[in-house]
Amino acid sequence: MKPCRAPAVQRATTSESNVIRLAEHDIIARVRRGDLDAFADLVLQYKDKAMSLAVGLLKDHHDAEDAVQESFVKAFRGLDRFNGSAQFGTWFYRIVYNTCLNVLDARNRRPGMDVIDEETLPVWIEPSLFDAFDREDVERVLRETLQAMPPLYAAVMDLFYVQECTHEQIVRITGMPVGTIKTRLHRGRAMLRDALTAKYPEIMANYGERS
Amino acid sequence: MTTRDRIDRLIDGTITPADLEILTQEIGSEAIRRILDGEQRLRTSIASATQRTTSPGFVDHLMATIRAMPGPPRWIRLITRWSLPGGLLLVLLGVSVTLAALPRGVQGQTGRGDALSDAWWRADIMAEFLRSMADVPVSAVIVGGMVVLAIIIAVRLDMARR
Repeated sequence: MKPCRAPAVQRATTSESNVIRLAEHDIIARVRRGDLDAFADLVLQYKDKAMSLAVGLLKDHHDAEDAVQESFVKAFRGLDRFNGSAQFGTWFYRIVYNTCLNVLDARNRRPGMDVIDEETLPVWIEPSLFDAFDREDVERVLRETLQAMPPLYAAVMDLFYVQECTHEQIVRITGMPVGTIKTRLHRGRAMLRDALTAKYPEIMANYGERS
Repeated sequence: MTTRDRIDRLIDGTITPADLEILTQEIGSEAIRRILDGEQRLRTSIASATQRTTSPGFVDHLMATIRAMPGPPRWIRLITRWSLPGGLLLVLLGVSVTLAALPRGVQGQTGRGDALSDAWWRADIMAEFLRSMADVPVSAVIVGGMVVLAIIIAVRLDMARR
């Protein structure tokens, strides 16, 4: 299930997303009638993706799990306030995001809500790179780089690439201006490309010549 | 809009068909295919690299926490559970007492004993009784039952909404 809509390059069809929304609407209606098994279904659907977002922000598996647990409890208590105009995923990820920011607050490490909206050159990664390297090596470099990214960059990258949220949905979840989101995505991609370049300079040199 | 803006939108998945057509003329379909393919491969790799899962007991612990969360007070749960049959019983009791007791008094006064007259009198007296409910003590039971029923319906509707 895709809680956030996929970008245009691989977006689910309208009928697919309507089916997803209907199924979710039905589950939420059951939870509101007091069906706790239905809530357990929601937990199973969202827990791993919520963990990915929380680990990106908190950089600690244990803290992330606590934050996700707290987020589910908040979602259960506040389900009355979910009006169904947005997807449940967008609403829930906002709770996870804010819960993680509260944890960072408690550690006195809340990142500043700076507004970045600068001119940037497009960055993309050559597809042949993924064939040139061993898949596990590439994934390890990506994982380490994402782990080392500042929390708000990691959160935006996770929401865009893992949760498949649109810019508009990321705005709703994080409250960041769209320009800031675009800049963070751009810088995040650049960080990933730089990390791969540093790891495999000889192949990346050829890649640089081709692109 | 510049070529750079269009490439940005292509990468972000927000490019319009018209801009895609212009971009195809500007950089060629092969470059567009490479950019999209690279983004898709990056997406797949990031999703795989950042795959996380919770500890084995996560769901059980969470559901136990939610089940242990304080619900509505016990008296509300008791009212919700028992007041529907209780209220119905009160209403039925009130109506039965009225139908059984009042016509006998009237019959005794008039001295008429046939079944048709008896039924007629019962209906007449019942109608009169309902008109003057506020003055008859039994009606308080009926009204009370109805109020309780209304409360139950309201509480149940509210719980269903929740």
